[in-house]
Amino acid sequence: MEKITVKICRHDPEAGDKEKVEEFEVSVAEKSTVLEILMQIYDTQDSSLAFSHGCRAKNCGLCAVNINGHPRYACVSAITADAEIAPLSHLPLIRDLVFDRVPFFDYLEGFQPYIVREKEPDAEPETVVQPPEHARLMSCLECFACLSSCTKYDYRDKSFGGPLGFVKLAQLHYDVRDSLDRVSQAREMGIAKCADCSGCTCIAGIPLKQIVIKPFLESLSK
Amino acid sequence: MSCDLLCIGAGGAGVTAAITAGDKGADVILLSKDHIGYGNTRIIGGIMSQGDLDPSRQGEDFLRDMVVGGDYLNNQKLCRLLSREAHNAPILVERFGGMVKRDSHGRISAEVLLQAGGHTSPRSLIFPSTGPGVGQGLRYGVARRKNIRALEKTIVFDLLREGGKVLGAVCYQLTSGEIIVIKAKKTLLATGGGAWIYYPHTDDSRVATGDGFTLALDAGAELVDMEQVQYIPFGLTHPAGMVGIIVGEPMTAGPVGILKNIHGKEILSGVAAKTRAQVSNAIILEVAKGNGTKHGGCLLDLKANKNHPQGKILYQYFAEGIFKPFTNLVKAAYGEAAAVWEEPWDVYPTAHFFMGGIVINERGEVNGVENLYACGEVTGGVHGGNRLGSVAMTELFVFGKRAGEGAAAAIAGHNSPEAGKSLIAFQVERLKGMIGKKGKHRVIELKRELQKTMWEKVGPARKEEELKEGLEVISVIEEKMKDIKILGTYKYNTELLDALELRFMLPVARSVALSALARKESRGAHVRLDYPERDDHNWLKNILVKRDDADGIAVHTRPVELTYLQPPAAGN
Repeated sequence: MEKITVKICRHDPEAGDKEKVEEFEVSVAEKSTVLEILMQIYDTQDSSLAFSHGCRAKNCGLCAVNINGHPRYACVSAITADAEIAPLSHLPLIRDLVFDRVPFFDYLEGFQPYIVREKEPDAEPETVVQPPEHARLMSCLECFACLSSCTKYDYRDKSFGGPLGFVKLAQLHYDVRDSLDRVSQAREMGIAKCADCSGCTCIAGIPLKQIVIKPFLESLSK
Repeated sequence: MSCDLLCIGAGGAGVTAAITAGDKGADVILLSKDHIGYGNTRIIGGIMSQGDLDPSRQGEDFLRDMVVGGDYLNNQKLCRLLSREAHNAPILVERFGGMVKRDSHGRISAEVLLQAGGHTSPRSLIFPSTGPGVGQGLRYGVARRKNIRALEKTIVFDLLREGGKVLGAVCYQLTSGEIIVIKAKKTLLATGGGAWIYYPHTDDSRVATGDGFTLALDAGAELVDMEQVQYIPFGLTHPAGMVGIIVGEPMTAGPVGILKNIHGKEILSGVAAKTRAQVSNAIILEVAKGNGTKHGGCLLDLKANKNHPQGKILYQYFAEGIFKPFTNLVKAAYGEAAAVWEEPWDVYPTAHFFMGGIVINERGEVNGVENLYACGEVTGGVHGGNRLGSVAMTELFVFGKRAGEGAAAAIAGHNSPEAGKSLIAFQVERLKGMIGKKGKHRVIELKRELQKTMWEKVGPARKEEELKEGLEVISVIEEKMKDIKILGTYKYNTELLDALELRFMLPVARSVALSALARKESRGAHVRLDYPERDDHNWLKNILVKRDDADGIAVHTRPVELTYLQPPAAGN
């Protein structure tokens, strides 16, 4: 066990206070993770600290935060001395490390974010070959880290859906059961802004540029 | 707000019930403590049983496997429904938006089915995108339906109850800080299990605090076989932050994987074909004998699989396929050599699933409580003393559909009184009274004390004396709960969330401990070191708990209804 000091961004927009960085002295062991330390602070020092987590095993995507400026899953990131832990960027903050997911999904509602079939299947389960891109995209953890890594996204700007918006459209674009023109929707969502940019990253490992951004841009230029 | 059907819980079971009822015309409110399609559904390993391909067997083999695997504690009527309707599960998943793996011709065939431990034939489908794929598909299904209103990050404080009838619920929405009153003609519990009472020795999501068990108990329902907590055999034993995380199950031991004690002696052969209870119990007993590692586990040595034809296929699943997440976790915890199976893994069972739960009938109605339905892990009976791998997912969709249909049919032409103003005001005031409480104890410390006690005294290896000690600690925590402190803010009040959850966890913990104390034998997942044998003569019984007049919990037993299958006569 060793003592280190970590920095955590605290902010309560409702109380009208300013964002501030608080320091906490914590005990770490070999392989201690950021989530473990957040829970330690919550359990032993300050149970007003707001952060999200679910499974502790990189399955649910709920614990994504910025660590020293980079989006990471707290549950599988090693804690380091002087780590600064902040909420993901460009999203509506609720408190401390917790952001609101609802505005994104409300925005997405305008794009029919579900399978729209031309006709119902004749027999179920259907005979259907799943493109590998679809399987890959459906494993998206919806952690919102890609929106944090995007230099052009802001949740208040309705002209641009950001990488997560494009992932949600791409899921349906590659879904052989869906009949809507998702390429046109990507245009409406502002994908043209991505043409000269390769800024976004997926911390779950989905190759965004290759299977989401580039195919949409190419379809639009045809 | 008011609605026809209030669905509490938005994993696979709750969403299926909501959509089914909605499509039959019901006006539905779907409540989720986290987000739609999260909970434990979101973090599944990625398999779901779809029954046997041969329809002429009418699910009889599947039924037998469930009942034999469940050590004959199952509600066989529910098992038969599940085994006969299992083929509907993938159809529902796919109607909402998910997708299961198919062969190269796009069909579900023998080629794509796995055989999970305890199943006598391959009948488990694979989700190529695991839990996130299922969860996002559920959200598609909800988004498409305008007659379902979703309330996320919302926890129930209490059900509105009057004269034995459930009339809705009073809730707290974490993100807005609002207190929300919902009047409902019918209410459905799909809140999942309660394995978070064992944190950190669990692979469940943090939301699995057993909310629905306690809501049902308080409404007058019975819970059956709550001692039957499934421990999945292969959980990590260290480092501290990763304790309890799942890295496999019996099937993933492969054809020639070996389970050994610290002295290198094999403790169980043919692991891959065994049930979770059989494998977990072997590890639990070996460690109890003092033959565990310094981290309190046994050693799972998978290396020989790398030179075995079927074992090599399994290795590929771990290297690139659906089990790759396990490989990443092993690598983080135990290093590169362990991740490529050159070194054995230190493993110990981790709390995974509640076989026990609310007593329901085939329409999902909660026995003894008017207007209340339940489906999914929060219910009891389907799995008896052990759930077979991949059947939980099937249960969500089969019984989610049944409960949704049942509730929708009952709503049509239903004319129940609404919850009265004074009842609502009383409940809202009780909830408001918790906010800003200035007592002595920090709630999170009580929560952790309960979890530690449950693992140490009411965990995998049980003894009368320790169970009694566990119950005493539970009583002490119940007392301390009367004198807690809670933040005074409304929005995102983390201490209030902890307090609401601990109020649910305490009766669940007591129910598990009392049922475990009552069952004086070892059966299914329930291991008593002082009663190591299964005792069919005395204990072919279900254990039931119910609220007594003094707001405590009373235990009674009932012989298991052996509707279709009987255990072989023992000894003679």
